Amino acid sequence: MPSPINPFKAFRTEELGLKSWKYYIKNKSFEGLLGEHPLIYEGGRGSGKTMFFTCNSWYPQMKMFAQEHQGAIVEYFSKQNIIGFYYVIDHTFIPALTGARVTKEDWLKIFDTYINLSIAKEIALFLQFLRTQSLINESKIIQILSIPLFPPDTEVKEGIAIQDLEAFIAQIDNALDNIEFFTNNNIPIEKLLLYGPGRLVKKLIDILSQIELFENTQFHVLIDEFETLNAEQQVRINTLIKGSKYNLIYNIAVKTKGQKTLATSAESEQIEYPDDYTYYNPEIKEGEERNYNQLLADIVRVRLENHFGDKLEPKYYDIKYYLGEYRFSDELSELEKQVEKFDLLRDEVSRLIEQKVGANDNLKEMIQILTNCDLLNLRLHKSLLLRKTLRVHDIYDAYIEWDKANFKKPTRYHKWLNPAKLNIIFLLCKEFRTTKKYYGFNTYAQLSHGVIRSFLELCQNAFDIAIANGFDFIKPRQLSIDEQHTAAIDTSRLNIKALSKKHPKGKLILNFITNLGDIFYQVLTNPNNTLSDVDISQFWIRGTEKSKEVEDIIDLALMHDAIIQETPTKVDRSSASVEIEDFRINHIFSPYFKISYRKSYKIPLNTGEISEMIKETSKVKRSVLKRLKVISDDLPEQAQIDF
Amino acid sequence: MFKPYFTFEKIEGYLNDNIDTFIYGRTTEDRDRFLYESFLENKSIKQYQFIIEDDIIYFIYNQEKIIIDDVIRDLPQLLDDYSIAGCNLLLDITSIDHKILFILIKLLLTKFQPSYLFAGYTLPLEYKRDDEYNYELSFDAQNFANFPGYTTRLDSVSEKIIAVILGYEGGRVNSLVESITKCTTILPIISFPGVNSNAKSIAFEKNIGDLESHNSLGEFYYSSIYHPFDIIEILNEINNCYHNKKYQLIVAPLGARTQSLGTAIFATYNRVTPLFDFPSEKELRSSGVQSCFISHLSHLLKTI
Repeated sequence: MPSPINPFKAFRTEELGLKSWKYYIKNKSFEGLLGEHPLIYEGGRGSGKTMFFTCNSWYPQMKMFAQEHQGAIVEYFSKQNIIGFYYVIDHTFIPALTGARVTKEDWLKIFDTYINLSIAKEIALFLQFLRTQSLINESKIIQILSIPLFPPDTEVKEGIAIQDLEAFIAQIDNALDNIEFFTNNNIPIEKLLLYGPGRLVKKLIDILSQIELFENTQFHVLIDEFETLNAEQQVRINTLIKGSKYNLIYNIAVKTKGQKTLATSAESEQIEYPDDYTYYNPEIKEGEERNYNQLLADIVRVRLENHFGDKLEPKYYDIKYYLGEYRFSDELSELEKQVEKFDLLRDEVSRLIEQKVGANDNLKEMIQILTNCDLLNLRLHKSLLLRKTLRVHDIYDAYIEWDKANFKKPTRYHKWLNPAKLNIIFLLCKEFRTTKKYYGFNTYAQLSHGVIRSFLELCQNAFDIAIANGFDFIKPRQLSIDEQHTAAIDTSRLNIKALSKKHPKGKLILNFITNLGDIFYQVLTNPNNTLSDVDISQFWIRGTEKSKEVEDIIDLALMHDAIIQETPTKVDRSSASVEIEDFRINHIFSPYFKISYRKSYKIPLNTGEISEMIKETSKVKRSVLKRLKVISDDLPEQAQIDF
Repeated sequence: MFKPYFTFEKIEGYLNDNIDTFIYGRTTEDRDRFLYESFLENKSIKQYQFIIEDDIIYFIYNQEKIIIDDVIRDLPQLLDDYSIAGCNLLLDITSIDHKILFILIKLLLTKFQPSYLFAGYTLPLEYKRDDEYNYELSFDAQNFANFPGYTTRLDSVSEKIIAVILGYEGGRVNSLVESITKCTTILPIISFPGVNSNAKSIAFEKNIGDLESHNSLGEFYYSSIYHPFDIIEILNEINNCYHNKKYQLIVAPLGARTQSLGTAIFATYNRVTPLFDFPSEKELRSSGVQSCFISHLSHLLKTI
């Protein structure tokens, strides 16, 4: 049983609670996101949306400010002009705002009022806090307290007269209770005082802005889990985004593809980028890997500091110490121990050379040079020999040139070898019947690839296993390859398992991913792989027309983080430049499917194939592999994947 | 706590002589039909049925099919129209859909009180499964949400305590916890003995991963699967521990219908939040009839 000292146990912002700000890392790419324009922060599960939104709300901001400026909360307002109010959609409650007893439009009005009241409560709590800091007195906000929350002549539990903030907050709670009561009972809608989208919040903010302290303040409403709203409800929030200006800005955090509409309540008006909002997606762009890796290291350092204070030696706060680095050479030296298989591969390469050159003076020497080399080179030679366009002489000359250059300058051979190294390891592991191991800081970073939570899950599982093996932070050590690899497999399997429980259509998405992963594995480890295209983990959709069904599958797979959309590539097709949508499988699934966690090569899929791939048993895998020339008529040895 | 429950055989005669109203749900499986067929010949008992087809709720009496558009508006009207108040009622909870069961219980306990109220639960001989530990009883679960009639908002301030009645399928606890902010404590409840002698270990086995990943392998509560009274008692105990504005108690009845019944009864009288993921139940997920238990609920009828 793992000991409770694992500092990676909590990885959801919600689990960290009010202390979440202590774990917040100010990422460079966050700078300026909250400004005059509303922000739409779109990203997958665990990509930092909630952390960003909660930590930019007033309470954590003040805590952070106080820590940086030694307790001077009062100075916060003179230096900061942004105050955030965090509101997460109560998605267990909101679906109850439906039923035939009132019209759809009335339910939307109730929804508007509910959102208004919920945000108003956050504002009231903020005012209460300011009062405890003697930054405002109640007489200055007396107008706020007199805002009506109930229809005239309503008997209210706490009485109508509101004299202080506590009573005002209690009245907000009563008004929310009233809505709750309405959802549970068949009572007339006239029992509720309904507010249009954002009207109550605007009233409060307008009054607040009259206070000297907030003259230049921008108030940001930070709405999280926007994807849980239905399209009509999203329209109401979109209207608030469209109308955001001056001192009141609405921002949303939404799961990938969770935004169902861009429409607003005004007919023919939509929210438009970049006029109406700023868009942010935490996906790692080409060349940003180093920043991402640094971000991960910083997140872990802060986490360990929060957990252990200054009790550890400085090097023990660095996650790279525990995970180490993945090195090809480590796996290769293990593989090279299989002497018999190494020799068999040498024989195979010799045969291929012989077949390709026929009788030739140099034959012996070429065989000698191209087979008496490291295993990595030898396996590359086999793949190069399978390329129809390459002559043995070309390979031989390139190898000699590379060898003489002593790896110091870029050569043709270098360009073949370098990108293919990881793919060669996958091939060798399959052919030598050895398990490909997933370990090392860089590997873990690539498996998570933008999903910080996945990295923390990997670490949690790795430390759980290590702790069960006697690891202790009193006397830390590097985690073993096996501990890390087992953790990677476990994390991957759990993520796959979780897919089937996602709503909606999790089971179908699981089928799609399972078929996709299996195809990738077959292509990656195809014995006739020429290594022209390596590390396959992506696909693109052939044909310009996507059926509605395929569009839905892709959107849901994106929403459930099963696949990730890549920056579109432009392809020149018959003189017309066409934008192609590229997708990659979430790399956290890689260990489960025994596939690569790097994105390099992509395969094309037809829309028909995709709609077949959502079926649990389908022959589509076979036809895709045939089309990709991985198999001919008879499917060779299948990948054994247990589901 | 007073726990009046009986095997069906023991009170079959009494029920035949005394009940005048029988409410039941779908009749697709052997166990769904057990009580229904037991009273089929008794013409003095009125039989009302609730079913859901393509997401539409129907009330059926004497082959007349009435659509329930809005359970909050229409169900009280129906119970009134058919004079449920004051009758001697047996409710077959085995097959009534969760969406109806909860609101029906609330209305029966508080507004349309029968003179006598019994609830019957029939255990099957076996559940369909792939292997000893692999039950697939439902599919296409939704996001966790409130039951109609029991809607309670999750406030942004309080810490959430989740009492979760474990079922035989894994993954649901994880979805539940992931859908709730500020969840601090998970209290797992296992019901047994169930159909299979391994029921306890199956529920444990299927959920251990989810519970472990949320650090919830501490205290377990155990309840009988035969009746709702243990669950009421357990929820009462938990509620007393966390009866403070600092906490909000959430109950997720992912196990047997008796446990859902207990949750509905408790939630009718206490401010707790029952949440459910409303999966579609597979057709023919069980076969045969092992036993049937009747709980007597009349002592729980109260006017709020």
